[in-house]
Amino acid sequence: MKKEYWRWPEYRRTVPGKDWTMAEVVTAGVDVGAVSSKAAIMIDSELYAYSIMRTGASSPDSASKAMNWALEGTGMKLEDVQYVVGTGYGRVNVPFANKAITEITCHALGANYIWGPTVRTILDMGGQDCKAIRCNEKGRVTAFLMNDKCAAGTGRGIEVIADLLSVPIEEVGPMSLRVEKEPEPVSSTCVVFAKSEALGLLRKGWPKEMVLAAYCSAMANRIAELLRRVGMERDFVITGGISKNIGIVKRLEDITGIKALAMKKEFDPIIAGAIGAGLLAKDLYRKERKDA
Amino acid sequence: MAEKKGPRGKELEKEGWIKQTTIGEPRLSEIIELYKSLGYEVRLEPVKLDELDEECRKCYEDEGDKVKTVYVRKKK
Repeated sequence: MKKEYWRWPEYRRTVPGKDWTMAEVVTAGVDVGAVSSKAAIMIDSELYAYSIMRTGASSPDSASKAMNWALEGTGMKLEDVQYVVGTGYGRVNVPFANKAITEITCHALGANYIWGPTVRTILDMGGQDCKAIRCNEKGRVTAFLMNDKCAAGTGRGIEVIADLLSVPIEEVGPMSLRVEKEPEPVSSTCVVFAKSEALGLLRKGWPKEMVLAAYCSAMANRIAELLRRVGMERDFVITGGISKNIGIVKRLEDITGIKALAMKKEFDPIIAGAIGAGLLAKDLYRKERKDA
Repeated sequence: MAEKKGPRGKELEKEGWIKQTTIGEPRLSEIIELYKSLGYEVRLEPVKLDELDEECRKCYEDEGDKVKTVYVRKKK
């Protein structure tokens, strides 16, 4: 069987030392992205459990699988969750959600939860899109920009390059930094064109490190432009899958001159949107109870 | 997306519109809703294929009129 170099680890986690049965309000956020699906269970606005897995052919199935996996081993059932907010590309297809909310709103709130109220600029580098978001001290969106429709400069592009070069996806970033001299960026981040350009460079005898450096550099340039247009300011954080690609993050920091706050050990930056959705779920639950 | 600024784009800029992105559903509805909530007027324009770089044109041709260019300006 052909090795799938693009494949990233799927996993679930329960935060130790927390008892959900003592919680006043149990909510969840389910972020169904184009490439990954995430579920975050919150107890009284604190992260309790989460799961991260690949999105399948059906958004409703992916949402259910992610939620069931987050619940696994906790003793909690879906019926115990009082309010669920769906977000992400497939947000309207979360069958058990009480409400759907845009992921830009959720990512800003999630970043505020993970890194605190000093966050002002968030870059969400997802599977098939890239968003630059500005927010206030409460995690409310004040401005944003989204990349154009194509997958150029997104996680899917990195997956394609990883597979093409037979480099495990976690290795793409570190390997791209193992070059003595930074090569010229590839001329296009378009998935189709970058693939043929990368093949051309390999045929010319470029080592994989150089090809990856050229691709990561082109991606960083493209993302930096999005950040420049939105008006980037400190504190700056990165969410989404590509936040784990040090080759892109390092180059992006060099171009912009602004360092991203370090990832927090206890929070995977991929689940920021799901966390934000889970936090909003509590507010909505309270509001609906008050109105009733 | 690599794009040249055409006469229509220049005209809109003069009227205070700022180009944000070119995108289709389901993202399009999401960002329209968000820009309006932030106090912006939103204007949608069809994608001008002749203003796109050749490498981008094929993808946008396939999308037909499902993809729009989003412009915003602050409400007066």
